[in-house]
Amino acid sequence: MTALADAVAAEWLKLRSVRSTYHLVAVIVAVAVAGEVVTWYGVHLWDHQGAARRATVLVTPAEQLTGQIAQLILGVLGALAITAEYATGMIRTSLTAVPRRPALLAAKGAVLATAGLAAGGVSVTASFLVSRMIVGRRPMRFYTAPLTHEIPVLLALTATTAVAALVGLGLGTIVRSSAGAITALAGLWYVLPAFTHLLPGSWSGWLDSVMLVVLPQELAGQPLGYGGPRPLLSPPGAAVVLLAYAAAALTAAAVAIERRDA
Amino acid sequence: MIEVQNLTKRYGGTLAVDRLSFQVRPGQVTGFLGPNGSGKSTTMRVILGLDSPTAGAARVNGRRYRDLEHPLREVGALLDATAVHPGRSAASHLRWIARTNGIGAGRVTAVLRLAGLTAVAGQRIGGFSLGMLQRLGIAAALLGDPAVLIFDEPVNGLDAHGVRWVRGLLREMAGQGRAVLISSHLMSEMQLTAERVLIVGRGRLLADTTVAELTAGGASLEDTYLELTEGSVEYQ
Repeated sequence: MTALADAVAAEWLKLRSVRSTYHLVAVIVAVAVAGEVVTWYGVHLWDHQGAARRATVLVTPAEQLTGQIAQLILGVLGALAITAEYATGMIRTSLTAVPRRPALLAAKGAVLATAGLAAGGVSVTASFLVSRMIVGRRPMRFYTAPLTHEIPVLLALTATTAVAALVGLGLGTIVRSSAGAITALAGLWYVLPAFTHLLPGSWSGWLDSVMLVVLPQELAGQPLGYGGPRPLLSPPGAAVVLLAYAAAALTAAAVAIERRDA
Repeated sequence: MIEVQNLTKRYGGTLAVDRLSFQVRPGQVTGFLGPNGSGKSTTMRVILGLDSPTAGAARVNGRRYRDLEHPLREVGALLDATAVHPGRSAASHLRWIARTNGIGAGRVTAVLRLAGLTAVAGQRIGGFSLGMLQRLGIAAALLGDPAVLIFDEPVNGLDAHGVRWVRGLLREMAGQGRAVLISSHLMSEMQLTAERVLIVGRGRLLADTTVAELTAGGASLEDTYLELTEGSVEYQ
């Protein structure tokens, strides 16, 4: 147990001591700021429309944009946490220091999940609060629900960010290349949902409902795509599927790292 | 103490190590010699639990590497000095390694001083010369004050001062009762540093003896080595 705690502390030191971590955090901040600029522009349009046309002003909630980027960035961070070690050969130092490979993976997973919860929670909540301040009391669409009503949305986006980091770590461990892992991650997250539509009826609906990109909304019990259909999965069902993604990625990664020579 | 017993390692159709057995005893520097591709690095990776043996076993202090509770406190290894993240500072690099095995921050300062890297401890590794990287790798190996040391080509890239420093350090470590295994291509260097030598060719043990014995009769270690490994060189 103490060995695992030491490994976790070491992984935390690793994450903090390279600049790429801070660069990725800066991307999340930049996108969050850009989201607020979009919100501000939406408010500007709304203020200059006649009452009849105000209903046509649709501004995607800033926390949705920030949440999606936070998920992508944490997925990349998760992948890099191991692919950078394979690229430099430092993985051998890591494995001589922590020879029990599942322990190394668990330590990385613990640090990345925590980073995901922190980065997701802070960025999504800040985006939400700032955009609400920008919109103020204007009855703009998507901005009228009471604050407490939005808490499940914020929690769902945050949880998905942590899972993204673990899926990135899993893919990175399996693929062992940064480019390959990031491509696989983007494919799983964004490209695959475009293809599930092509499958026959009932399959398509079921597969659509378990795609990572819709899970946050299902987890929060929100309609899909804002104003779209009710989701197929209940919030507990979505939580199970989300955890299954993390578990599957980490299990496959543990098998891969255990079986292969470093 | 390192014990390798009947170790065989096969990669696909290639036999990298072929029923290799030897011991590396405490209190002396053991040189591990052989042509390129003779299985030295593979053997070191198996000893360190990085590659799993096809057959046979390697043990350190009586146990498989993977079963060591705090491996860095028992074994210090340097396989490839360039296998570091260039963006990290030397001190950060040593700090995370120390942390994995519950080694205190005082040791980081101590090995930085020992390796002559105190002045550059805060600098990013990416700017280091190969000689500085070797020093950093040796510093990392010494973090846990281990009784067994394994170095793959430790003088590679070092200048004359660095070579002499490593030579002195290795002999000092052996003099303190540690088991030291070093691989090298430099026979003249081995003749100065090692007391025992293991010579391998095509994954097999060709000689396990002392430098004194090999050079008896006035032959240089290099002459004897070239004679022994003549049939084992794959690329000429």
